[in-house]
Amino acid sequence: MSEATPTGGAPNEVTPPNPDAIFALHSAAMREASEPRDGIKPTPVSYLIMCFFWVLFGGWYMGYYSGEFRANGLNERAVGGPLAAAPPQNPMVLGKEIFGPCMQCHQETGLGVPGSYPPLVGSEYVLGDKRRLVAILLNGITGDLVVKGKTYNSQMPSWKLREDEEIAAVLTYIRASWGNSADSVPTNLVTTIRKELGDKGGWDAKSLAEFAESKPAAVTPVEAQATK
Amino acid sequence: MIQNQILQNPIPEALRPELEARIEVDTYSRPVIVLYWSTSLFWLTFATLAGLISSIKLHSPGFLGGMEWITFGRIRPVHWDTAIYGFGGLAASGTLLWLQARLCQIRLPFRELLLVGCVIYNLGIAVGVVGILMGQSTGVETLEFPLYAIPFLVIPYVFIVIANFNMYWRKATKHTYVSQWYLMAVTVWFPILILSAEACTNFGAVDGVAQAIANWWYGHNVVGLFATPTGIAAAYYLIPKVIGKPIHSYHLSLLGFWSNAIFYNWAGTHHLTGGPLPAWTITLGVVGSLMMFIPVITIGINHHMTMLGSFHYLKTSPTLRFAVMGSMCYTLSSFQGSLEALRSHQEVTHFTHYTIGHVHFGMYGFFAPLMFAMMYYAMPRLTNQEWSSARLIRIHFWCTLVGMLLYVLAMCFAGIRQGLMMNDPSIPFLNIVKFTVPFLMLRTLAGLILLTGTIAFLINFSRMLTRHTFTYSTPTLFTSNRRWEDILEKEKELTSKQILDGGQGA
Repeated sequence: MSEATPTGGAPNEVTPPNPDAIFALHSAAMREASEPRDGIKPTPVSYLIMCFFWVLFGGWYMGYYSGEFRANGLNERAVGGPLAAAPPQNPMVLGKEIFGPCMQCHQETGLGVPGSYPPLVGSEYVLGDKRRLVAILLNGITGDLVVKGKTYNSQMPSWKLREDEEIAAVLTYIRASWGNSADSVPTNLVTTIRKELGDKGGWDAKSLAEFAESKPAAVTPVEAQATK
Repeated sequence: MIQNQILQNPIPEALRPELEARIEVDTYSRPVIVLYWSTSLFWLTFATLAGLISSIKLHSPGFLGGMEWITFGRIRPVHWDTAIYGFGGLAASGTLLWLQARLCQIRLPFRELLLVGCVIYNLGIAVGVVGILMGQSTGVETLEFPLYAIPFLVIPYVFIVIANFNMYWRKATKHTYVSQWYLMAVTVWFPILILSAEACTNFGAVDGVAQAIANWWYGHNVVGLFATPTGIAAAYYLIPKVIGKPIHSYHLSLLGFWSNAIFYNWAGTHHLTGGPLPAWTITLGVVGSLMMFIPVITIGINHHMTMLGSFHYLKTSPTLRFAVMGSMCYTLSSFQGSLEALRSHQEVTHFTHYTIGHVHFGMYGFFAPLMFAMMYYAMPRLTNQEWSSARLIRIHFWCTLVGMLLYVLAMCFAGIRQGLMMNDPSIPFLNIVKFTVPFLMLRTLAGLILLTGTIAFLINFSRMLTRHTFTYSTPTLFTSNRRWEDILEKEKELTSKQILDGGQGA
């Protein structure tokens, strides 16, 4: 490669010119045009006016969807007054959405898997005491569990990280689907039990039974009010 | 006889200084640029392979399932980071240095520093990749490299910034061409971007959703204020250069540059639509994206009007074909991107394959072809060798175009259908996943086509580095039928250099 390096300097008139340099110069001249230049075609005024109006539109759009530039405004169309609370969702619709991950074990049909995952259809745990049902969902349960006379052994994780509303919705959903017909689970019940359980670990069949027999902590009207 | 022809047709004296300066600049920048570009191609191949593995894993989850090092959560960040920092960073840096040296008409300064910088940068990426594969990713998208890899990536960039400013201050030309504006802008913008984004996310200068804003501000801008300006600078240089016409309008160049500088920066937050952010921050991102119509249309007019009447050059010039493909995809993918930012659009396409399709439209339809065009144009001038095979260039071009289009169309169509189905709670999620599988397979096919093109380019490129090709000959164009066999034939003949030396040269 170094042999082909052109010197680049002006050729000396006395000594014969370096053939490499001559060749490089010719190939440089032959293979490309001069460095590009800027043309000076005028910009159409109509185009500039269009750009101007587009920026104006941007300003209007910014204001229209600003949610009044509130730090805590998640709704871009909120105008005036206190922030409107989100309309309550139908728990059956929300519950069906939330049920997605549950399907992996309890199946889409709610029938579970024999030996490992108990059914939700007709289960005494689902249709019975709501307090116990919420407790299972919040903290999870491990080990042998007898449902409808059959023993199941597996592990259900804790769903503590879900919102109270979501837990209530999914429980309402499973209590009223696939032929089940029990009443709905109110959100404030989940809130109360969550508070009652604190940072307690997962259940097994024995500790759950003990919990179910214990007296529920009284739900004061103030607490119930606060969760709405 | 070539000798005689040359001696009988001397170069006009007026042209000599420019030609001599050009030769000197090219010769002098050779080692640096060739190192940057050849390592960038290594990372391009690496990123393509990593992308292919991630793609296969999405429709055949068991593929290479036993190896924790290449689970999807690790190989996908490796794919994106090597594509943007490995291929993108090195190809763009090479382009930046070569274009700036040429347009300033001065020798590349600090060559040794830049060479060392390139080695450090490559080491940094290798360290970062191993870090991610070992499971030490930071988890912040596009800033996944573990913190110990960051100094390796920042120090070389400091060298490039110094060299770039040095060249610009000592430039031998009076005029500053539009490409140079973009190159200077990149060197100012990118350090601000990466340093503030790293500070806000991985170094924890801010908390909570502000981190998410910083992350997507960066994630969007690394494409828009780093890759895009370099690509546009290349297009602004190559299109008028190859067809020998001035760029359409200086005023449009001005409008395009400044509107790009003003609006792009705000666009990032539309990635967080639906997130727990104040609504106005997302609206700001949407407005920024909508305003991008101005620079995109302006730059589009400037490029396409320059091309108008010269489309027949596309038949012959490989450089121009890649450059025009790049500039057309810039217009189209930017239109798509601006519309994609709208909330009503995001309701359907957010969190679907559509976004992935759009990213590849921009990166593989716009940025990569312009970098390829730059290499096709500059490498013969840097090495004094010609591309060995027109057929390989043809394969590279068609694989890039067809692979990219297949990828983008498959992903965008699948993404829209996927989004519509996900908005309907009566459709089970598994059915939606099953629906996308054929399109994910098409994507793997598209990836294989792109890989084929890359390999064709690698063969051509490495033949140039190993000097298994033509020296001081006519350019390799699509109309020539240069093939590997010709080179073997040629090796038996005297090279033109030997003719000039009277048959004495090596």
